[in-house]
This record gives sequence, C-alpha cells and structure tokens, in this order.
Amino acid sequence: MSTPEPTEAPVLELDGVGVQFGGNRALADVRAHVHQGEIVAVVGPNGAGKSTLLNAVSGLLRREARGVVRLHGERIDQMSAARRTSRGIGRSFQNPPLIDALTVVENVMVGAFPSRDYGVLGHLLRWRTVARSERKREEQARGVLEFMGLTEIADLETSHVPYGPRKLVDIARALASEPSVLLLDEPTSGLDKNEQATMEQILRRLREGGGISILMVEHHMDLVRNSASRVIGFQAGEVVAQGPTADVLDSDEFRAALVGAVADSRSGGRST
Amino acid sequence: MDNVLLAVFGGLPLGATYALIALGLVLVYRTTGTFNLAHGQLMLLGAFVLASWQQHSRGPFVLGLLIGLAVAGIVAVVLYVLVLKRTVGQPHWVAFVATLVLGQLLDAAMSLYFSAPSYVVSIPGMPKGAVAIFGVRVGQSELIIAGIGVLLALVFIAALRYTRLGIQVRAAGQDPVLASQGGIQVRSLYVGSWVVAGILAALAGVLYGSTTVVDSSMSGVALIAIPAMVLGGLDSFEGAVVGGLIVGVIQGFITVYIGGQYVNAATYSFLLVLLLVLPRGLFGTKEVVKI
Amino acid sequence: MTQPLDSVATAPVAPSHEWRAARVVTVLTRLGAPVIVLIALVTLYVTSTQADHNVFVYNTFLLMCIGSLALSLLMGTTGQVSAGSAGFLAAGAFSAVWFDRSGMPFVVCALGGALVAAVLGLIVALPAIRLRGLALGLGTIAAHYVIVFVVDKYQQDTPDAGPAGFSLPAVFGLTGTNTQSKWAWLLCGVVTVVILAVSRLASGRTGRALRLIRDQEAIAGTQAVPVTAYKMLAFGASSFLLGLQGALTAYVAGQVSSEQFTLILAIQFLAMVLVGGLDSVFGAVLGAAIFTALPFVMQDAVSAVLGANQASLNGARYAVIVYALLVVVFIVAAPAGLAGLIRRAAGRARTVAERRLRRTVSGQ
Repeated sequence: MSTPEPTEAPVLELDGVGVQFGGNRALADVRAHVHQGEIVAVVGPNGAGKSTLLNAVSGLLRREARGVVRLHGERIDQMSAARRTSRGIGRSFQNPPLIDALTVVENVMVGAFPSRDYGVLGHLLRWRTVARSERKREEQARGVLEFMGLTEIADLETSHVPYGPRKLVDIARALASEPSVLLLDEPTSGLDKNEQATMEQILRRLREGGGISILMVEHHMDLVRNSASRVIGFQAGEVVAQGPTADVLDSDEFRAALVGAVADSRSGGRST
Repeated sequence: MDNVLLAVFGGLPLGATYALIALGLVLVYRTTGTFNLAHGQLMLLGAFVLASWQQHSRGPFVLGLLIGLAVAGIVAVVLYVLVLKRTVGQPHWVAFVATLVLGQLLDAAMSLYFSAPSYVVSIPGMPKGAVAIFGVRVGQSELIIAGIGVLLALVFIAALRYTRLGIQVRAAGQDPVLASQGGIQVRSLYVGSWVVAGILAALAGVLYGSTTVVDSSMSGVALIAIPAMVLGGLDSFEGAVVGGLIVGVIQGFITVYIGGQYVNAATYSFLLVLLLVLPRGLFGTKEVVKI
Repeated sequence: MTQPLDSVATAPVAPSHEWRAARVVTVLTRLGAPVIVLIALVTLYVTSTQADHNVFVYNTFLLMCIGSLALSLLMGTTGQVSAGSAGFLAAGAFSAVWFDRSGMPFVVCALGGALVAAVLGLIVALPAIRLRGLALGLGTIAAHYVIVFVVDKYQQDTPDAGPAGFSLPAVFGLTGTNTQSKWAWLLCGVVTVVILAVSRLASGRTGRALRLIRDQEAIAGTQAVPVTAYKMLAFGASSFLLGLQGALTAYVAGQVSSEQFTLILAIQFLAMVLVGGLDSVFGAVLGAAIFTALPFVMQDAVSAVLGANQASLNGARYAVIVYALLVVVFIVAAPAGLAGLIRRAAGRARTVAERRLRRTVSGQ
C-alpha cells in the first residue's frame, strides 16, 4: 500500500506539539502532517500519548497543550474546541459519547450543531425556518448513515444499539459536521472481526472520496497496513518512527520499539 | 472589645456543633460520594430518643445516650443500604434529591411518633452558672459544650489519621477499586461510615439540643452547617472542623453586631459568595470540583 | 458520499406496522400535542360540571403544571438540579405583589414577577453552574433561604400586610359568579403555551444540545455547544416559569404569605418530576396531577382508617410519608418515572420489532 507523496501543502500540520499534565510530560515536540485525502495512523503501546495527541489537536487540552497546529495553513492551536470543529476538525472517541435517550439519526444530527440557522429565540418563534432546517439536517444525517451502512438502525433508540454499531454512529456524528480532517480514536477497539471489516470498508470509501483527511490512532496492525499511507510511531510521548506504512511497520527498530502494540493487535482485546 | 468576645464565645458552641455535623457529612461524602441532606434529621432523631428516654424512664443518662446514638446509626445505615446505595450509576443529583426526600420522610415519621411539641435534653452535671472571661460573662455550660464538641472532633480526626481503619477510610474514598485490590473491605467500610456519620449526627443533636429545646426545627441546623463544609473544602476532615468553628464565630458576630434574625440569611448568602469566590474551600482537593 | 456501502448494508428489514405506529406515538408525545388536547378536554369537563371550590383545586393543578414542566426541562432535559423552586415561586409572587401595589396592570405584574425570578435564578446559577454537580444543588438551597428571608422581611415591614400576608385585588374580567372557571380557561391557555415552549426547547437543535450537556458534558465543547450559556438558558427559563407560577398562584388565591414557601414545597417539586417522569411533558403533567391529588386522597384514606380526628391532625404528615415512599420506590425501581413505565408498556410491541432489527444489526 504505497501512495506517491503529495506535493501540495499539508491539510493538517503539527509543529512542536507537546502536552504537560502538571509535572508529567505526556507528549513532547511532535512534528507531523497529514495531506489531502491521506490516512495517517498513529501507533504505539498503551500510554504512549496517542489519545493525548488527538485531544491536543481537537482542542480538549487547550490549557495543557503547547506548539503549533495548522489547518489549511491557518493556526488553530489557540482556538476553542468549538471553533476548531467549525473550521473542519471532526473527532470520534474511543468510547462513543452518544445520547442514549435519542435515536441514532438524532445523535448524528448532534454533529451538525455548529452550523447555525437560528438562535434559541428563533427556535421558539420561527417554526417554519426551524422545520426546514431540521429537515435539511435530518436528510444530511440520513445520508451519512447510509454511507456508513447504518440506515437500518437510523430510527432505533440509541440505548438499544450494541457497542460495535455505536462506534460507527460516533464516526457518523463526526462526519455530520462535514470535517476536512477526521480524528479517529481507536475506531476498531472492541469490535469483532466482521465489524472490523466494516470499518476498513468505510475507511477505504472515505479515502477514495478524497475530500477527507484522516489522522487515526489504531492498535490493529492489519487495518493500519491496509488503510494508512503513512504511520507515526509513538513511544512514551515521543515520535520514534515516521514514514510510509510498509517502511515503518517492517523496520526492525519499529518491531523492537513497538512490540507492545503488535502484541495488543494480536490479542484483539479492547484497550483502555 | 467586649462585643468581640461576646461574639466569639457566643459562636464557639455553635461552631463546635457545626464541626461535628460537617465531619459526618464529609465522612459519607468521601466514602460513598453522597451529600447527605438528611443529616439534620439524624441529629434530631438522636436527640429525640435521648430526650424521651430521660422523660419516660429513670435509667442512667449514658444508657439513654447510647440508645440514641445507636438508633441514629442504624437509621443512617438503613437509608444507605435501602436507598442511597442503589442510586449508583444514576445522575449525581438523584442521590441529592433522595436524601432531601428521606429527610422529609424522617421528619414526618418523627413528628408522628414524638408527638409532644418539644422535648428537653439535659446533660447531667452541667453547671448552670456563668464565668467572667476578660470581663465578659459566658455561660459555663456553653463553654463546656464547645469544649466537648471540639474534643470529639479532634478525637475523630486523630482516629482517622492514626488508626488502620482511618487510613482505609481515606484510601477507599480516594480510589475504591485500588483500595479493594489492596485488601480493603470497601463495602463494609461504606456501611461503617454511615453508622459513624449517624452517631456523629446524634452527638451533635444531643449537644445542640442541650442548649435549647429539641423540636422539629433542629433538622434545619444541619443545612446551615453546609457553608462550614464548603468552606472546609467538602472533602477535608480538618477543613470541616476549621470551617465549622469559623462559621459558628461568624454567626456569633452577626448576632452581636447585626441581629439574630439575620443569622440564617447571612449564613446562606455567605455560602453563595463562597461558591463564587472560593469553590474549593480552604482545604479542598482539586478532584472534588469535577463531581 | 451518499453511495451505500454494498458489503456493509445488511438485507433490508421492513419496519413492521407496530413499530411504525409506536414511532408515531413517540413523536407526538415528544411534541406534547396529546397532553394539550387532554388538558383542554379536562378543563372543559371540570368547568362545566364542578362547583367553584373543585375548580379551584383543579386550578392549583394547572398552576403546578407550569413549575413541574419547568423543572422537567431543567432536571430531565439538561440534567441540572435545583432545590430552589419554592424560592423562585416566592420571588415571582412577591414581585407581582410589589408591582400590583405600584399600580401596574395584571399582565405586567405576572410577567414582571416571572422576570424578577428569572434574573434571580441567573444570579444564583452563574457561580454554581461553572462548578458542575452538587454546587448548583447547594447554591439553590442557599438561594431558597435568602429569597424567603427577603420576602418575609418585606411582608413584616409592610404595615397593611396582615398575618395572612398580602391580599390581591380581583383581576379585571375575572370576577363574578364563575371566577374560578374563568381562571381555569386562562390557566389552560398559559399551560398550553408553556407546554409548546418547553417541548420546543427540548426538541430539535436546542434539545440535542441540552441532552448532550446532560449525558456527555465533556465532549459538548467539541460539538461547539456553549455549555455555560445553555445551562444558564435552562436555569433562566425554569426560574422564569416558576416565577410565573408564583405570581399567578397569588392572583388565583387572592392572597399570598411568605410562610407558604418552605423547603418542603421545593422538595415536593423535585418529587413531582421524579415520580411523573423526567424529560417528558406527559410525565411533568402527570406528576403535577398526582401531587395535587395526594393530600386530598390521603386525607380521605387516613380518615377512613384512623378516623376523622387523626385525619385533620396528622393527615398532612401521612401524605408526606406516602409521597416520600413513592419517590424512594421510583428512584430505586423505576428512575424513568411513571411516564417511563407507560412508555415501556406501550412500546412492548415495538421492542419485539426492535429485537428483530437488533439481531440483524449485530449479525452483520
């Protein structure tokens, strides 16, 4: 799986990104980039700082994070998580944060919150506008669900949806904000073989669409090998290897350094 | 100067009571994460039981006291086991509402059972006179009550600090999973902490009741102790005692300088200001805020 | 983007008729439409058949609905607790009294009372809401006592307020023989507007944001949901409605006294929404109905079992015991309240259909 190195400027660019929790350095001086339509995998043993990296990029660690994050050349590292979302950062979570009492399609519509057709007062008074906007959102959400192969469960109450499809719904929610960069946090953790295959399909579709660039944390090396064009290897909060997928995964240094991750992928267990 | 001393000595007995109340609140909050708003009713229960023992039987005071403490401790555990334990996993305010409602339940049940309008608790051997301190006349019994309250609070804290059980309580409150892996019987600790909290409540009720009459208004006293707990930092035992004494003395000053009728309103205003400017209190740990 | 994933899509399962029917029920219930129709019908029945005194009792139920809907929005939909309901009722009632004594017309007094309550609510909530969790509960208890102290002081310092508090004049157009029936229709209109407003805030974009704050506050930021602003909105709206209830209650009864506003009343509001069912218009109305009826039912029950003497002496205490036990049972056994139980019973047909769907989903 090798794609030619794109020549244009990267969509997402990290320069010297670090995270400090009190006295603990969780992430040090990360330099990385994601090009248009590319899938970049972040791999490494548990506790290497992979999720922390996603939190730093998506704006959940504004106070703790240092360094420069650029999206389409624009600096976003000082922005709130909300503004980063409206600028085009979408994000899934390892443990899908869904609202159980709502239906699946309503959960996907949560992702469309940043686009605003009316305020709270408008919501109370301008019924026609609200209805039109809601229809539009719902149509868009159903489109995303169809893309994800989830049309069948769109109207189910989310509390009835099992863990595997929940992870897909979470990604659908992230896609509903129409991101240009999607951050996926362990999309296949806790999934069975069939569900993992589904996830791989979805990643391939997204890549073939070409409109979305993906930075994903992933433990399953098969999926990384099949989907990612480049890999960033992490250990103890530092980048230890970076390059085209096959080069990194097959290198001896990687095998030696990231033995934990490989073992993890073999066991196939849900990591925490 | 006299007024200042009057305020301080007027506030200390109250402060000691608040300290005992706040200790009980902190104890169950730290171990089981429940903010027990029915604590005042447990105070009242202990005082009621002792008072009616003194009224109806000629038995020794100590026996009546022990029965009062035991009843409050048992009722506290019943509340925990039957109701509050089962709110785990529900939104955090469910337990909050549950304790409020249980308080109402106890209030109604007690007013049916203890049907006289008010009762009297008298601690034997309590002197009636007053002594002059720096020229201010202070009731002896009030000084003694303040002393007993502070002493009990200090004994309790020392027990938590230096006994094995105390260390377990602190550990279980910090991280139940880790504590149970370290061989601590977390469940019996939880039950035990509710027993102890009930006993602390009853002690506070008896001390407070001996200074005034015992009637249904006493269950509100525990609510006024909430500012003490917040000032101490919600989860700090030492903070509870310091906060209790400070709030008691503040109330002493309000009584002397502004007027008794303003005490409650001013204390609750103080709580609102406290939440705004010092939400972590004096000794609170950082984690508490994320409740 | 809308092209389906062939190998992912499962064999299509046509949703069954029961399932579709149940879904229609869900949507209608969420809009509150059946509840509005129901209340209108009951109002018609009560006003045309009952004596003035019974209509007055029905009016207290309609008034309770306002506050109970407010709390359902705050606690059920947004997940924020308030023990200050009685305080906000008092703020609304006594502000209305104050406006009335300054010669304002009824509508200004009622809405003015509601606005004052809303402003007080926002002042109390601002520090507490940032802290999450218990702080709001404790803050609202404090607010309750401070507000009640202030209105009590106002009542004591006003020479012509008697021991029973302030008297309010009859409202223009609401006088004569059927005063309470006229009130019933006015209140029915108010409750309808409140139901529409609350179910609207709890649906669509705003509703999703409020529920995200309730269930997943940690990620609300990444969805661009302004957490503090929306919590303030929910708290302000609910205090506004409680203030409105307080002001209207004062006018319907014709008098108001600071002693009515106890912490027990605030706790009853909490009990009401918990037993009725949170995050549900139907549940809020059901809770209001139960808690309006309970004292009367208990009076009769105690009278039948223990005699009339006990009933007049201790009826209220037995009522408190019964309502407290009711709340405890619901908290332990049915946290979704009566509305949840009914929904579950009604949706039994649906779960069969859903189970079939679920099997397909997990089997993919």
